[in-house]
Amino acid sequence: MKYVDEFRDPALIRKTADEIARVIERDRHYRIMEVCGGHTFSIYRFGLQRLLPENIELVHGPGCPVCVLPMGRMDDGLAIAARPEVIFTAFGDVMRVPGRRGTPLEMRAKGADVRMVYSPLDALKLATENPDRQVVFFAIGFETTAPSTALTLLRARSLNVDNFSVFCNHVLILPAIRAILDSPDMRIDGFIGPGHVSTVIGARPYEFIAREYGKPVVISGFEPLDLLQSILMLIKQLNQGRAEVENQYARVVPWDGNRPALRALAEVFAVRPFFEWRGLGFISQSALRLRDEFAAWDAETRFSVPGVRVTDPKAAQCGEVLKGVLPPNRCKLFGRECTPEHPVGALMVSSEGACAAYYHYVHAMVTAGD
Amino acid sequence: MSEGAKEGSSKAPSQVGESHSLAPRCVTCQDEAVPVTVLELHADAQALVENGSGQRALVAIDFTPEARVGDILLVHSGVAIARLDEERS
Repeated sequence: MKYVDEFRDPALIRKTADEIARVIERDRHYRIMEVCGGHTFSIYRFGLQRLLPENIELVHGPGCPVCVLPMGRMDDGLAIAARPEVIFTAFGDVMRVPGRRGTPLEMRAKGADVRMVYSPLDALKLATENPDRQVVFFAIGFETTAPSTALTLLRARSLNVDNFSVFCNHVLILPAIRAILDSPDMRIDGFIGPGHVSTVIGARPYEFIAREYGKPVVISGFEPLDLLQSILMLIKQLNQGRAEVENQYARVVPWDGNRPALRALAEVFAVRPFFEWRGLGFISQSALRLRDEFAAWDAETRFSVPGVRVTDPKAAQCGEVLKGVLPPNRCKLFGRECTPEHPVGALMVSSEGACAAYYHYVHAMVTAGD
Repeated sequence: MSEGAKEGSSKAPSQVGESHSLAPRCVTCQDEAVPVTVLELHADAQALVENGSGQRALVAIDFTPEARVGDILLVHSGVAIARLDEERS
């Protein structure tokens, strides 16, 4: 397919990797964070770390919304799912995310009406087809996904669907990056900026990272060549002492974002004063709630939720891994108590989580070689 | 839904309700978007699209109103969020 095949061209990939090897300063260590879980997945899937010189370290960031969701929010959602009148809908990976009393899939096995959807629009359709039931969509995700939830709520309002509501867990990427930058043990030299979040918010909002923190940012696509080009652009900035926002993914990411999507977000959502992130703690103004005008479609208003708080297990070192202080396999629990089958920490929960991706691709390879 | 949309969805192996077949992997990463080609524009801001493996689905194009037949869109959770721009690439 056009725009995909050419970004997997082995000759171009080799050429870019060679250029990276040529331009790096040998006595310098480059620590680059890819913020987005999709980039983490691509890096492992295509084995990109092996194409890079040893002094370029890729650090995996907080960009997996499933991983950063506090267990208490899952418990609140599952409390709604347990109600007999409710059809509880969510994306596929949410189905495996454990609350204290099990996952949505396990709830389904016990008789709850839990259904997987690909789009919140599918959940709305389910509501119109089941007027005697309450359909709840468990919304989760960054600015990539929030527009589809916003669009669904706008449609629910215009169609006057009153048996549909959203349990909103949408989070914002920029406050999370700022929290990492403000952390005293932060040691990141530059950022690979999220590609698809940026199709919505644009490249401009990242300028504070360059201006206030002096760190370069390159917005990147997801194919191997995209990521290598972005790493090369970052290395060149660092070598030249520049800190700018550059857009490697300009074929998709407009500098000012997607205006209709941003308008829909502004119409439907307000920013919460604070929200808890697994591994990072409470971050102010880092998540979205439904505006009061949409209270009729807000599951947190419609159903009384317990407001559960669950403390992260102390032994898990998710916070250090998220901030790039520790590689996944150096956490005390990695691969022993904490595995993708039995995740203890946040980053093992979804396949996009830094620890789960590391476990599947690197750990499996190492143990196979033993 | 318009007649055209119905006709389009009946040709498609997966309708909007089952459009997960467009996603190659975890959709909850939430930063995953699938490139698709627009085959037909339908009423109600929808388009019939096809991904690289030939799988088809109806998607919402409210956020890419400029989409035309032949364009490549990025689709995330059933909604197109961007149109690929050859001039910028």
